[in-house]
Amino acid sequence: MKPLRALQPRPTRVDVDADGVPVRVEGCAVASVREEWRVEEGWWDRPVRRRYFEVVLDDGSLLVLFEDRLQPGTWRRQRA
Amino acid sequence: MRTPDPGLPVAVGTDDAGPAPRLGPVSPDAARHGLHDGLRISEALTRCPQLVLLPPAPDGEHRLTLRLHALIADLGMPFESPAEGVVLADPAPVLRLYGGLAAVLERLGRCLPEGLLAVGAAPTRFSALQAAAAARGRPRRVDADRLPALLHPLPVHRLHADGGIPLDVCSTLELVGIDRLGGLAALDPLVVRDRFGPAGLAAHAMACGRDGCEIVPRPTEPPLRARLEPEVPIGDALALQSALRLLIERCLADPLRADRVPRRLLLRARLAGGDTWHCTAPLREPTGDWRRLFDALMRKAAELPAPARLLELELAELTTTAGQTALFTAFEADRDARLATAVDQVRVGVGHDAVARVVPLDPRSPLPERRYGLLPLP
Repeated sequence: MKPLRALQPRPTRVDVDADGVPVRVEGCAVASVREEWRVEEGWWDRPVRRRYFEVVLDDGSLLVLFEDRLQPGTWRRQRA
Repeated sequence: MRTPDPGLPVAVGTDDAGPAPRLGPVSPDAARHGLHDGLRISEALTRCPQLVLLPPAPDGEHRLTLRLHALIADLGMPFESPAEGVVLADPAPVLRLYGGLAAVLERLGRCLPEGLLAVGAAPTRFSALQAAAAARGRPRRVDADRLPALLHPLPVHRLHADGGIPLDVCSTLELVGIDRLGGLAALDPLVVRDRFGPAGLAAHAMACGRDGCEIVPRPTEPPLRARLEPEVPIGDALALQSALRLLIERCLADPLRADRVPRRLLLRARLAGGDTWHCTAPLREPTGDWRRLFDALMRKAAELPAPARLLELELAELTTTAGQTALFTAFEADRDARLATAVDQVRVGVGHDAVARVVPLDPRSPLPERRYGLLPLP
């Protein structure tokens, strides 16, 4: 019995500024960036390096995005 | 785990954290140094400083035992398993089918790869176990007239390891200078009974090769088990509680269980480092109440020594409840029954996997997708 994963990330298209901060998500502009954090773990086994952003879009929706730092330019959206 | 060099004395250690841990099975090289199963580890290392101790692998031993049970059942012999890795079988029903005892022994000897199985045949239970212990590569058969030659040179601690005689009886015999079964067999059984009681009388019977040959065959029924193999090893208490709850619910929901309830719970784990671990949770009385099962299991599971990559729960010694039933149905039981009916109706309309439950796996993980999982409701 293997449990299915909840909160799986999904690929998404993100445009960023010169500092790598999201400005547009799938064509919708980012109104504000509420929070930013990084996750780096599993360096001994299966390394994970992500840069997370919690953003509010122009349409009012709240999103959590991250860029996979092991594959720069690869963005995913995730509920957290 | 590095494989010890051949020729080195090897023994299985113990996961017993008590003040005097004892050895498990020993290799023939270790036995030549006077080491044996049940010897205190401190004494073993004094006798044999180059002894290599291996960690116990209860899961591997259990799987090999189950495989052996299946093979012997296929041969058609009733059998009994008094301990992990030990099987006592009665060949009488199949002697004519296979053409005699020698043919039966030959088949048994080919059951498992060479080196994994020792086969012995003798007129009584204890002597059959000793015949198997003395087998070297080929099955060993010992007739009644040769039992003294087999049993008398053996050390008395075999009575504890293979006969279930209390350790203090064997220790006292050794203290008074009776360290071989021949010395015990030479004593007057009434004197042994007066000194050691029924256990002494049983020990004397074993030493004389008169301990009986009845087999109590185990009932053939499939084990009731559930297994959980998460992607991330279960390391913290909350994840462990969730995992145990899932396993209990899955076992209780198994259609094979019918209305039977367990007397004992067996939990096995494969740890993150590759080792295995197991524990047994006996119940005061048979019950199918998942809260009581969870409480009994959680007390033992809290001793898990490392994060677990795999957990397996088995409900053992199933029995039908014959105790007093409650006068009133608890509110929770009634609510659960109505909820189960509602879930079944949804499944009929939408699909079996349409109803799932969110379970915490590692709620404090920095990666959100590792915090929770989805499992179908049982």
